[in-house]
Amino acid sequence: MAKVCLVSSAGGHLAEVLGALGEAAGEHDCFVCVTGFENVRRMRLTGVRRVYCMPVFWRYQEPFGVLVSLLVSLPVFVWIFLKERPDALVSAGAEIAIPAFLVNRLLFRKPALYIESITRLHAPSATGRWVARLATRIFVQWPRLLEFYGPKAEYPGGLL
Amino acid sequence: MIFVTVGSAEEGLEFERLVREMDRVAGALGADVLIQRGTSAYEPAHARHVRFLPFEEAMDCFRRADLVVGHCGAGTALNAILLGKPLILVPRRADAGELDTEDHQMELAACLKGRPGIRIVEDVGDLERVVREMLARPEERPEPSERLVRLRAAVGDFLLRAEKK
Repeated sequence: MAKVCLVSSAGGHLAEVLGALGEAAGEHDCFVCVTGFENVRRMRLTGVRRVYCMPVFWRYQEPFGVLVSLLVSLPVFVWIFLKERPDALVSAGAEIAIPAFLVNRLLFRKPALYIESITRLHAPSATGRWVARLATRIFVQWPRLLEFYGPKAEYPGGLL
Repeated sequence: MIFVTVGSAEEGLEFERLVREMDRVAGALGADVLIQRGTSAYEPAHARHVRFLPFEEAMDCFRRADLVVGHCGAGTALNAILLGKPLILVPRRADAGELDTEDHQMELAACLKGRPGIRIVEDVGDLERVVREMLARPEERPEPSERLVRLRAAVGDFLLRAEKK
C-alpha cells in the first residue's frame, strides 16, 4: 500500500483524479489536498482517508488572489508532506498542483504523476505547462497532446 | 428526478442560458427538477435550485437522478457516465461569455456525440424535446469506455511502482 497525496481543485478536476484512480483509491492510503472553497469543506470521500483544504484568498477569480493563494500554499504543502510523508503525488489540476509539485521536486522527490484534463484535446493547459517540468510522469488523455509534453508523457487512455 | 448542473467550480462563470431554459422545461413538464445553478443570478421559479452543492451531496444527486442535464464539463460528464445516467450535455460557448478561455466544451461535446445514452444540445430551444425523448427511453444508458479501463490500469501501475520505491 502506497501513501498517496492527491492534489486537486474542487469540481471537475477532483472528479477526474478520483475517476482516474477508481478502485485503486481504496487499495492505497490516499489523502486529498483540495482548493478550499465552501463546497468541499468538511467533505468526506469514499476511499480517501483525510482531506486538507488549501488556503484560498479573497477574489480567487483575479490573478492576484490566485498568486497569493498559491504562494501561501507552498509552506502549507511542506507541512503536509512532512506530516504525511507520501510515497507519491497525483494531480489532474488545476493550478493548486503547481506549488505541490514544486515542493515535492525541491524537497521530497517522490514520484509525481500529472494527468492532463480530458478537456484538453489540442494544447496543454497552463497548469500542465508549469507542472510538466516538475512531474516525473505525465498522462495525457488524447494522443494529440503527446507532442507538446515530450518524453515524460504517455497516452494510456482517457476517462471518457 | 432531473438533476441539472452547470458545474461546481465556485470561480466559474455563469451559464444562465441553461438555467433559465431548464427552469421553463421544469414548469412545462411538471417534473421534479433540481438545478445546481452556480453563479447565475437568475432564480428559477419552477425548479428546485441551489447555488452550489457540497461535493458529496452533488454526487448523491447524480446517483438519485433519472436524467442528468449539464454543461459539457469533464466532471459532469464523468459522474453521469460512471453511474450510467442518461445525459444531456449543453456546451458552454466562449463567444457568449460562458467560458473564459477557448471552446473546450465544444470539443469535448464533439468527442461524446453519438454515444448511447448521451445527447449533445447546442441550442437550448431543443432541450424540452430532447428531455422528453430521453425520459421516454430510460433503458438507454451511457457506459464507461475501454479508454477508462486502460487509464486506470496505468494509474494503478504508477502507484504500485511508487510503493516499491
